[in-house]
Amino acid sequence: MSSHIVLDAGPLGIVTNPRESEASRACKAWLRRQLLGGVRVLIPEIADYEVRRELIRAGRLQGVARLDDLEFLPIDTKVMRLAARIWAEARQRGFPTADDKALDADVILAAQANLAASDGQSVVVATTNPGHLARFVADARPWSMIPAPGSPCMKTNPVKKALREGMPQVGTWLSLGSVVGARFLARSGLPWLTVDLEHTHTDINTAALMFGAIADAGCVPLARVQTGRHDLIKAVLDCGAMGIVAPMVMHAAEARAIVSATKYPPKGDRSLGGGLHALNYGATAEDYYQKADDEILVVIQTEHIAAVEVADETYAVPGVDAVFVGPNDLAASLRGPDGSPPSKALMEQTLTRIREAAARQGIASGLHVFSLDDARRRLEEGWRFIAVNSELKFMMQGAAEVSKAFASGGNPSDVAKY
Amino acid sequence: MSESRQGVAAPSAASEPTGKPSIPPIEEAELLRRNRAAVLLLDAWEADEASDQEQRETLEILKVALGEGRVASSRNLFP
Repeated sequence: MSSHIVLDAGPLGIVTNPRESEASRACKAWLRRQLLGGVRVLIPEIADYEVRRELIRAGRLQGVARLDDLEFLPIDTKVMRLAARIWAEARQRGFPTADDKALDADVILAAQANLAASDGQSVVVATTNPGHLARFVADARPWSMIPAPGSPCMKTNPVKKALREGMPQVGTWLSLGSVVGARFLARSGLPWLTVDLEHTHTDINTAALMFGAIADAGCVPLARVQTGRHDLIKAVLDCGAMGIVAPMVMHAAEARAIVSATKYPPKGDRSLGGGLHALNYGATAEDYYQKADDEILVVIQTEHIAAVEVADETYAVPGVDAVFVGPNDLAASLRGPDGSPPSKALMEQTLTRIREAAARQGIASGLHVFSLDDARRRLEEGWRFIAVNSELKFMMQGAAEVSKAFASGGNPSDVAKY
Repeated sequence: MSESRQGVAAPSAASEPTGKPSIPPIEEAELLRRNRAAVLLLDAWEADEASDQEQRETLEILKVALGEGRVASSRNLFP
């Protein structure tokens, strides 16, 4: 059985105009890889018809000339008889695919694809929007989701997927800026590690090496950025972070800007470039550009009582995957006029408000804890994105146990908050 | 009858007129020759700096005509 791709009108229009944008170049590069991989690419005459008539109407003669250079899968009696049956059955089942008065191009495309498959071939329809086409053909996919023969299959982000499905994800923080430490911890079985660039000395060069070390071990590298600025988010994502944690997000507009910085146009305003990101996803740059929007985890931090007041609106911003509490700054914002810290009851009440707002808006909530007992308690309460300690805290806690048992010095764990 | 991913039966071509295959078979060497020619064509279109603006305008027209303005189907090809 050989492999065939049937090209829908959307991708046909794109690949015949590859200079239009980076996205159209990526589509052309994808088709090129398919062709070089020995895939037989079929252009159904109905797709040509739809593209061609619009080009003629608009007087785009150069575009028409480019179509003339291609080979097409012709429409014949068999195609039209099957198309008629699909058209009628779709309406009998209550699934019309076009106005009854319109030529239904999709049923003709479906007929061409199904007849090609009936010859015993493996056939997939490459499109820009499968939509209802999936009802009429066995396999219709966005073109970017059809891997070329021999091309690496881009990794997905299991942490994002798990959180979306309501599953807990417990990881830790990396505060030391240690590539070696990251290499070891990435093999500990924790699903994610967050490289902290906000409150540590870790620079972008070291962070890039840490992201690679973590990803190569099969763990998910995240980056806590210094602020939610576009250029800072771009830097960590281009260097291979699979998600970001943005601190001190105060309102919905800020959350929208952060989400936008993580997604390529048209969904956002992330600039295309770099190559380390694709390495960490085991993909080509073109694959990464096509799929990254769906794989980047976006976590915003709530660290101020004013942000809690507008939490629902902020958490409702499309593209926000989770909220992570910053307890120190949150507590600082709750201090009394005399600087006295908030009561434990007030802190817990505030945490509950954050968790419940996240639940109402369908995103995961998370926070930092420093013991297994606290991690279990928070999970039972409904928190899902839990950080236990940091590599620094783990190290100092271990040393403190030995110190307490055999030495008379101070408590080493006191010098490391995270 | 094969099943689509959404669980609705994808129509088979079993009851349609039989005879020659729907896709004319070709030898592997011929397929590779055609694919190489298609690759050269794609590369030439991408390398054609003179048609920069023309290609941008052409695809913009298609995005409207095959997107929200599509009349041959209710499926928006550029959502």
